[in-house]
Amino acid sequence: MVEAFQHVFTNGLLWVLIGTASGIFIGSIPGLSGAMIISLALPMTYFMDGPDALLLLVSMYIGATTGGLISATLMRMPGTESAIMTTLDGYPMAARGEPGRALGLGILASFVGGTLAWIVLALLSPPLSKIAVRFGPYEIFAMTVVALSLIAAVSRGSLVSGLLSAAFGALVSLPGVDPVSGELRMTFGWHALDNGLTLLPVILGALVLSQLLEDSGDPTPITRDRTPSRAGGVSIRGRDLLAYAWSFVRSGLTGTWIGILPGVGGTTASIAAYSLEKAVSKHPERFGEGAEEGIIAAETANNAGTVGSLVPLITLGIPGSVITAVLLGAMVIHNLNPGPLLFAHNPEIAYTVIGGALASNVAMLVIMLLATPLLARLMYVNKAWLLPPIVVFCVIGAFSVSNRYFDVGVMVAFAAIGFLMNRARIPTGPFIIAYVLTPMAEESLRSGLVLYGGSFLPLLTRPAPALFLGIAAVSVGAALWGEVRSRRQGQLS
Amino acid sequence: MRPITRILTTAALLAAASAPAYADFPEKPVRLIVPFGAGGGTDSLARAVQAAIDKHDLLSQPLVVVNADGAAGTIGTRQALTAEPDGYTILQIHQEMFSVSAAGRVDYTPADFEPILQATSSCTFVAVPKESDMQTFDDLVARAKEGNLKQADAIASATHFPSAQLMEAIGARWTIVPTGGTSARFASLEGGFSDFALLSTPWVERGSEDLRALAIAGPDRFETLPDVPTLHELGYDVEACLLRRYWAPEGTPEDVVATLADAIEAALNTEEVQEQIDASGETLAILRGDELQQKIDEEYQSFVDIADVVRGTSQD
Amino acid sequence: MLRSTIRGREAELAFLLLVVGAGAMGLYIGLTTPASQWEPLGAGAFPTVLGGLTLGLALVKAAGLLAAPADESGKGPGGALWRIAAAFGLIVLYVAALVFQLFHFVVATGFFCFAFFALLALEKRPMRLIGMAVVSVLLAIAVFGIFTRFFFLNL
Repeated sequence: MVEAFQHVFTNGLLWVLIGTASGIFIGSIPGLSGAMIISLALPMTYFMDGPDALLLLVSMYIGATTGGLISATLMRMPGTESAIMTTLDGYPMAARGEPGRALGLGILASFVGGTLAWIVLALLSPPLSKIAVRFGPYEIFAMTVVALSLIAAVSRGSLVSGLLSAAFGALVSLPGVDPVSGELRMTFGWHALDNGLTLLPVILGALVLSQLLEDSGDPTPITRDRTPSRAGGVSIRGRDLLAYAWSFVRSGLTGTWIGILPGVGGTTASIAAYSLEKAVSKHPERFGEGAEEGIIAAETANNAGTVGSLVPLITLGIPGSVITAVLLGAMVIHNLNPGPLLFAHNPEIAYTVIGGALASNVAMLVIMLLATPLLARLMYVNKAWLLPPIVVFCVIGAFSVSNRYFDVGVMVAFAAIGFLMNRARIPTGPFIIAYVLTPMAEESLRSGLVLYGGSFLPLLTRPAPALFLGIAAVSVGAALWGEVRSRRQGQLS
Repeated sequence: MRPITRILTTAALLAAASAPAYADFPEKPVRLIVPFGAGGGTDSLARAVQAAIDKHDLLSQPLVVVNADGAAGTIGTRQALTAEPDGYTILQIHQEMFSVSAAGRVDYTPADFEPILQATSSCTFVAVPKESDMQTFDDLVARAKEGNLKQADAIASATHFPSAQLMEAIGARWTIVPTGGTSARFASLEGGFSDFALLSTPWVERGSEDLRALAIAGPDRFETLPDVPTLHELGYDVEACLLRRYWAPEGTPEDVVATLADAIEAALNTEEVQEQIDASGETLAILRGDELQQKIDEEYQSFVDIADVVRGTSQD
Repeated sequence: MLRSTIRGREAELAFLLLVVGAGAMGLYIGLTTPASQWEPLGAGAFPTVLGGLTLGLALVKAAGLLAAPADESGKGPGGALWRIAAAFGLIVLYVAALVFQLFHFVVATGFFCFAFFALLALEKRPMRLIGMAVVSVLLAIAVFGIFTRFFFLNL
C-alpha cells in the first residue's frame, strides 16, 4: 500500500496531472464528454504500464466530471452529461454578474464531493459494496422514482408544462432495443434507429446547440456592469463550507451512495442530490434562479458519484457507469484481473486507484483555481469566436457514439426541438431528467416483476423501496400543494 | 485488372519492399469494425491483432480498428453488411451475430457474410453462489425440475441460446432474470437475486471466494478447475463458448479473404497476442475455409432450432 | 378569436403538435406490441402508459392555452431571429455536406467555421476576414488530424 501510494505521488504524479488537466480541458468543451474521450483514449494506454494507464484514466474521469461545470456555469451549456444540473443555478448566478462566485462554489463543491467520497472509498469500500449488490431491481426502481419526483418540484409554477416536457422526454427514450427483452421497438423498420436516440446526441442538441442558437441571435458579450473584482476572480470562501455544511454533507453522501450502486453514475447522482436539496430547502423557489445550494448539490454529488463508482469497480469488478466499464476493460487488458479478489491478489492496483483518486482530486482543485480567473473572462468574450468551434466539437462528439453521422442528424433535430421548447416556455430540465431516468426505471421495474413472479408487492414490503416511494410521494404531494396554494394566492391578488 | 498491369504492380511492389505474397491487396488501410465499445473482449482482441499486424508488418497497409457500438452489435454489423465487398471493411464479432438473427431481430443472417477466420474461444461455466445449497449439477437439475430456479442472463443474447438448449436437454424450464453482461450477472448472484449464471473464464479466479462452479459449458474441462465436469460428461450435449470470428461482406473475392486470413492468423500466433489471449482466459481456436463454414452453418442452425424456446415459451 | 389565440404562441402550438404526434405514436406502438409470453409487463407497457399520459397532458395544456389570454409581453429571450435562422441553416448545410459526403471533412469544416464566424461577427474589414479564414482552416485541419490519427474516428 505504501509503495503504491509512493508511486502515485512520485512517478505516477505526472500521469495524474496530465490526466486531470486533459480531463478538465475536454470536459469544459461542450460536445466532448468524459465517457467519449476516455473510450477514445483507451487504445493509447495499451502501450503504457498498467498502473500508469489506470492513473491516467481515473484522473481523466475525475477531471472531466469537474471540467463540465465551466461551460455549464458560464455559457449554460453542460460540458459533460453530469453537469446538466449545474446549468440550472450556475448560469443564473453567473449571468447576474457573479461568474467568479458561481465557479468558485462549483469548484469547492467538486472538491468537497470528491473528498467525501474518497474517504468512503478508502475506508468503507468492502462493506459498502456488499450492501450495494443487495440493491436489487425494485430498490433501483424506487430510487429512480424519487429522482423522477424532482420533475414536479422543478416545474413549480408551470406544473402542466413541466409534466408535458417530462412525458415527451420519457417517450424520446423509448425507441431502439428494448432494454429487457432485447426486441426492437418504435423504430418503424428504420435500422438507423435501432440504437435509439442516444444520450450524447440528444443532450448536445437539446441543451448545447439550442442554447448556441439563442446565443447566435445575439453574440455580443454581456457587458460588465458589476464590480469587476468580484466577477473576475474566483471566490472560494471558507465560510461557505460552514454556511452550507449540511448541503455539502447531504449531497456528498447521496452522490457517493448512488455512485456505488452498480449501473448508476454521476448524472443520476446530481439529479437525485439536487432533488433532495430542493425538497428540504426553506426557500425552494430560489432554485433555478442562482441558488447556492443548487450549485453545491449538483457539483458535490456528481464528483462524489464519480469517485463512488470506483467502489464497486475495485471491490467487485462491477462497473458502475459507462466510464468505469472502460476502466474495467483497461484493467483486463493490462492483466490486472479486476474482481472481488483484487484487494487480495493485486492490492497495489487497488491502492493505485485509491491514491490516484485522491491525487487527482487535489490536482483538480489546484488546476481549477489557477485556470478559472482566466476562464471566468469567457463570460465576457465575444461569442462569435466560441460558437463555431463548439458546433464542430458537437458534431465530432455525436459522431463518435457509433462512428456514424446518423447521430449527428439526431443532434441537429434536437437542437431545433430544444430551441422550440425554449421559445414555447416549456422547461427543458424535466425533459432531460425523464429522458435519462426512464430507461433505468423501465428496466428495473420489469426485471423486478420477472424476479418476483409478477408481483408489485415487494415494492411495499421491502424496506428500501417502501421508504423511497414514501419520500417520492411526500415530495410530489408538497409540489402539488405548493402549486395549488400559489394559484389561490394568484387569484386573490 | 488486366494481367499485364497486375504483373507490373506486383513486380513494383515486390521490388519496393519485402511485401507479402498477395501484394496487390491491400492498397489502402483496412477498416476492422468492432461493433462493441472500447475495453470489452472483442475490442481487446482486435486491438492486439492490430498492434501485431503493425509491428510485424503482416499486411502491406495498416489495419484500423473502428468502434461502432450499439444495439447489441447490430449497428456495427450493418456497417459491414452494407460496405463494398472489397476487403477494405471487415468485422469481428462472436455469436451475438447469430442470436440477434435467430431471434428475428434483424433481417440479415450469417450467410450474408464471408467468414474469414475463427480466432479464439472463450467458454463459460455454470456458477452458483458459494452459500447456495446446490453442490453438484444434479442438484441444479433437481431444482429445475421442481420449477424453482432463476438464471441471471441477458435476454436473447449469445448465452441465452445455449441456456435454452440446456432447458431442452434437461427437459425443464426456468426463469431467466434479465440482468446483462457477466459482471451484472455476478452482482445478481452476489445479491441473492438469482440462483445461477453462465460466467466467462476470468470469473473462475475472480469469483473463487464467492462462487462455486458446477459444470463447464465447453468441449474440455478447465485447467484451473480440473475436478469440474463438462456438460458433455454429464450427458447434456450443450456448449456455451464465445467464438470470436472475423467476417467480410458477402461477395468479397476469395484471394482477398485468404490474404486477410493469413495476416490475422499470423498475428494471432505472435507472442504478444498469445499473451493477451492467455491473460483474458481465452484459448486459440483457429478455423478457416470450409471447416469454418461448416461449423458456422451447424451452429447457426442450432440457434434457429432453439429460437422458439428463447423467444419466450420458457414459462409453459 | 382563433387568430388572437395563435398570435404570439406559434412556438407553443408547434410544440403541442410535436408532443401530440409523439404521444400518439407511443400509444399506437404500445397497443400494437404483442404481450410478452415470459414477462408480466412487455415491451409495450411503457409506450402505452407514456403515450396516453402525454396525450392527456397535451389536452390539459391546450385547454390552458385557450382559456388564458395571449401573453404578448414575454416573447422569450431577445435576439435577431433572422440570424438564428441563418445559423441553424448553416449547421444543417454543414451536417448535410458531411452526411452525404459532398466534401471532405476538412473542407466542409473549414468553410462552415469561416461562414459562421463571419455571420456572428458581421465583420467587413478584409484583414479580419482573412484572419478568420486562416483560423477556420487551421481548426479544421487540427481537429481532423487529432481525431482520425489518435482517436481512430472515421470522419
